[in-house]
This record gives sequence, C-alpha cells and structure tokens, in this order.
Amino acid sequence: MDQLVIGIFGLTGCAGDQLTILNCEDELLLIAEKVTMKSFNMASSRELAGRVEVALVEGSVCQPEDLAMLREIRERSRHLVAFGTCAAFGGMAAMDQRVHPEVLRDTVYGPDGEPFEAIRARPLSSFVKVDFVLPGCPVEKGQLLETLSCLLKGSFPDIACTPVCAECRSRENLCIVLERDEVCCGALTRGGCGARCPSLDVSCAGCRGPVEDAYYAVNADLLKGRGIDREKIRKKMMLFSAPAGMGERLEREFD
Amino acid sequence: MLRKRIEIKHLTRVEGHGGITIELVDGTVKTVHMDILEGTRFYEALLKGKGFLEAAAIVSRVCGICSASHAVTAQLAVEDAFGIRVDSRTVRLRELLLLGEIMESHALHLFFLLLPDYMGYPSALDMARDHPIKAKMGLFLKQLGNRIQEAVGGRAIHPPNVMVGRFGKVPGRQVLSDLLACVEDGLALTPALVDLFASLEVPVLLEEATQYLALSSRDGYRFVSREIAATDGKVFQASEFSRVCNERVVAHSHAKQSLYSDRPFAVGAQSRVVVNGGELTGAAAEALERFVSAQGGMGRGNPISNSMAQAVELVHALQAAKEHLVDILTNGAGDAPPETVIEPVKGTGIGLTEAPRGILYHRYDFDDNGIITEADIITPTAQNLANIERDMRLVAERFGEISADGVVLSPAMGCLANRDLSFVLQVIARAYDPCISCSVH
Repeated sequence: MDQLVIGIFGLTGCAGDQLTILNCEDELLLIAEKVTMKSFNMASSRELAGRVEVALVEGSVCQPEDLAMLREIRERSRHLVAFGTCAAFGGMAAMDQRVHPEVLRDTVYGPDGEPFEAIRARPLSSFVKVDFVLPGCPVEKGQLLETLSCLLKGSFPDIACTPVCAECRSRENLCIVLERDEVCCGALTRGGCGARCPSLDVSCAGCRGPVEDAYYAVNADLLKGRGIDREKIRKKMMLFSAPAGMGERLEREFD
Repeated sequence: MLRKRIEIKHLTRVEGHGGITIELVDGTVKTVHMDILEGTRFYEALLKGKGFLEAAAIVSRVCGICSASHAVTAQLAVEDAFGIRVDSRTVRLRELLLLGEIMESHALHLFFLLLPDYMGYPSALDMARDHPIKAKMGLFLKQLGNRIQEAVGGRAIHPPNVMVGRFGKVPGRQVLSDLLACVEDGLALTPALVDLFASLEVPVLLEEATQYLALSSRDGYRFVSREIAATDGKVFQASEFSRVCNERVVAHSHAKQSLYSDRPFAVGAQSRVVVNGGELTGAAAEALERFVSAQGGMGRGNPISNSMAQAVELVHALQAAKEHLVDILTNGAGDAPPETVIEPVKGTGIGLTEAPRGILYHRYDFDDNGIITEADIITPTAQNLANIERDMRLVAERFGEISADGVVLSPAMGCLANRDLSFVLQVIARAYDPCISCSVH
C-alpha cells in the first residue's frame, strides 16, 4: 500500500503547531513509518514540491507571499487542514482588527523601514476552502494524534466543539468568574484542552477559538452581574476571539 | 566582469522562513544577505493598549520554541516596572522552566536539525532508521525538557502557568518527584551524549575574532540576570541593553539587526559558555574540557562550536534541574502560591533572560492603570543576524574558489570537504540555530 503523504507547511506564525508534531516523542518514529511527511522545512531537507493527500497548514495569512503560498498548497493538496488557531481563526496576529495594518507596521518599523505591503492578518478560510479545522494555540497533542490516526483510515476525526466550561466543570475546578469575579473566556471557547488553564487557576484566554452558537447574552449578563466592566472583557476577549468578532458581540449585549 | 549569484530560497532544518543570497563579482564577494522574509505579526504594536495581565499570554506566541523564555521575560518586565518582588520558590520554578526549555530546544537542534548534516541524512527521521539509538537519545532528552515545561509551565508550548509574581498552580510533590526520577535517567545518558558530540569531526570554518555577549552571572551558570557582559571586558546594566545592541531596520529583511560598537556580535550557547563557562561545575565542566581538547576552544570564533556549547548546556541543564527539584521538594512543594498584591505603577519595566538562542530583552512602558503604552522586544536571532552574515561573507571569501561550474570548497574542511558553498552556508546558518519567527515577531 502506498504511504499516506502529508505536507506540513507554515505561513506566518510561531511554528508551535509544527513543533507539536515533533513533540510527539513517543510516537514520532512510528508516525514516520506510516506517514510520508513532505515539505516539512523545519525538520527535513527532503523534497519540497509535489502533490500531497493532506496539507497541514499552520499560521495565518499576513503578507502577499503567504497568500501565494496558500493558493499553491491548496492546488496540490487533496485535503487542507487549518492547523492551529492562527490558521483556523487568525490568532494573535489578527487581534487588532480595528487598527490598520500599516499603522501596526509603522509602529514597529518606523520611518526607516523599506516599506513592505502590510495586510490584515486573516485565517485560511478567508481565501481557500478548508476541509478540516484542528484548533489550539498550540494544537493539543492528543487531538493531533487522533487526526493522524483517522487520516490513516481515510477520514477526519469528530472533534467536539463543546465549550471549555464543560470540561472545567467535570474537573471540579472552582469557577474563576463566580469565585473571583474575573473574566474567563471558557464559556465561549471550544474545549478539547481539558480546561488546561482554569485547572491551573488561570483564566481561559480563548486560545482554541470560538464555540459555534455561543450564548453572548447570557455571558454578558453573568459578567455584568459580577461587576466586571466591559473594558476588561474587551481586553481579554480580543486576544484570540477578535477575528470572529466575539468581544464586540459580547460588548453589544451589555447595552 | 563575471557576476555570480548564489541564492538559497528556503533554509531547511531551521525554524521559520529564511533564505541566503550572495553576490560575487569577479570572484570578490559583494553582498551577503540573510533574507528573512517571514511575515510580521507586529507584536510590539499589538502590545500597545493591552493590560499587564495579558502581556505574557501575548508575547509567548512570538515563538513556539522559546515561548517559556518570552513568558518569563514578560513577567520580569512587569515586575520590574511595578517593583514586585517574587519569592525564592517562584524564582527556582522559573529557572527550572527555562532549563526545561533549554533541554527541549537544544536536543531538538542537536539531534534533529544538526546531526543529520554530520551523519549524511536529509532529516533525523531518515537518520533514525539506521541510527535508532542516537535518535532515541535525542527524543528522550527532548521529551524530558517538555515534561519539565508541562509540569511547571502548564503546557510544553505557550506556558499559561507563568503569572505576574507567581505561578497559577505550583506543581505537587508527586509531579516533582517523578520529574526528578526522569532527570536522573537523563543524567545517566550524559556520558553517551558527550561521547557522541565529541566524536564529531567539527570543521574549523573560521577563526575570526568574535565579540560575544551574554548575561553574566557570578553565582553559578544562570539564565536570568540583569547584567550583560561582553568579551571585550565591558559590563552593562539591563537599562543600557537597547543602546548597547543598537537594533535597527535593514532593507533586505523583516527582522531588524543589531551591532555592538558598530560591529556584529554573537549571542547564544557559545557566547554563554565563553562568558560564564567558569561557573560550570561537575559533568558540565568536564564536558566543556572534553570538547575543548577534542575540537578546540569555544571562544576562537568558529560558529560551528555553538553546537558543542549546546551539548555542554544540555548536561548543565540536567544537573541544575536536579538541584532545583531537590531544593523545591525539600523546601515546600505543593504549598499554595503566595498572595501577591499587584499595584500598577506608571513607568518602564525591563525583562532580560537567556533564551536558548541568546539574550532576550523585553521593555514595556505602562500608564497608571498598567496599560502598555510602548513595547520593545529584542530577540537573540535578530542580534545574531549581522554576525551570521559576517561569517558567511568570510567563509565565502576565504574558502570559495571560483570555477566555471560554480564554487568548490577547499578539501581541508573535515566533513564539509567537497560540499558546495551553498551547503556550507546552510551549515553556518544552522549552527546559530536561528529562530526566524522570533527574529521577525
């Protein structure tokens, strides 16, 4: 049987999702036996070109070169996976949607820089068809392995989209909103992390992206009821949820 | 006039997107560019207007490999600005976290990115088929680093547990005892690790006087300090660093570059060993001696020695992690974190750490409410870029012999004999273990 050929690509991002592949230390040699990994620049000098069955694409589109690369990847892949939160939702780079990217550029590079084109950071789905979303900043190792296992059998896994809160409750953590009157994004963020941060007594930053069908009104009432002001909510919600407009929708419910 | 252009579009086995362009005219090297065309996320601009509580979560995303350094450095900057003192257990846990990161990052570089060049494979996965024991040693050490980061930081990448003044949750006794047992297993591997890297035939690409910079420590070999030492004997304080490294925008790269007294300089494992090597003890000190006698001194300007310095630091990280674990287990693991009262103060804070690739500097200005009004992040790879270009230029000038069909290297180059210049330039770039996402950020 021909080996499954997976392409591993990075647009603009931190390489944390690609590193998560290499962080599967116990499974890596087995994965390498079953799967041919192509275009994995970060780990291999092997061939870069050619068709792949599945492309795992990390990072968001932050410059015209990213877009050209993304289109080329789409062309030569049967399936394209948004690999991590940047690819799926835009991630950190997309947080200041209200600020023009040229303003961001000039803040960092000042007047001395050779002007290069700055575009607003966007997720892959703004430009190409995405077949599967594996969220996380970074992706959870367990979900990555589950995805690879399913791909070997010719399918994608069924990854739950329940909120972090559900997992947090089942771990019997004290609720950060109710006990400490702090903003926590758990109710609006998709789980799969086992409520990693609230279990450390750290409020959820929303790094796995928005749940589908979030209850904005209920959450706004809850936060307002705890005396949390909208500025605090805005600051927390914009870290990872800005591209989906979640912070703004939540704020609107305050009125 | 004979013009020749060597262009490497995609560096491989480095983190991020970078290339190399060299132009030769009549055999003379005209330009050498490390082209860093990775997209920019504008982190310094994104930080503006955000609260101090969000800083670490934001900046850890600069880089997947050195996220722990970014998170710790951010909190050091916040604490510096607000005058917050942290307890000794938090200090130790942070150092333990950084040591875990050093182990993961160095093992990744040594076994996955570098060793394939010496063993003649395109990747470590290809190498693993013929050399499973070497591959498994690398995987074990890398995993150990990740275990530490998971236990202390709450996640191997982008550690959420690193908070202002404290950790969200202090790892419990059982977790720390299990880690200690793993670290002991890692220490048992160190003789084999040193044997492996001391046996490599390290090419002496250059012996060019190089300025090394590292955070200086007088109480052991450490990764957190507020003092910077240069090998010209000068010592600087944290507040002087941005002036000292003089970061500026260059045309061919989205990453800025740095110069020390108008000259390139190096940071990273090799610089740390040159500056602070005298503080190494036990097996790490012995490993350093072994490398020096087998392959020559670390401070003589051969960039390839950086990898051997990483191997020395791997040994050190295991020893130091054991010390921290024993101390924390003796002096109160699992106790509730101390309550810290955080009062924002208008002003500036600076955080400095030694990330795996060298000095990492964060500076934030805050208003009365703890909102960031200005931010500056200077990463190790950005500091190294000018030096990488200098090394490439020197190597191209000294060893390149122009012939009709390209550039052929002098055969006196050990494992690099008869490889073309383009391969050797990639080996130089890889020796610095560049982290391109960090350099652009």
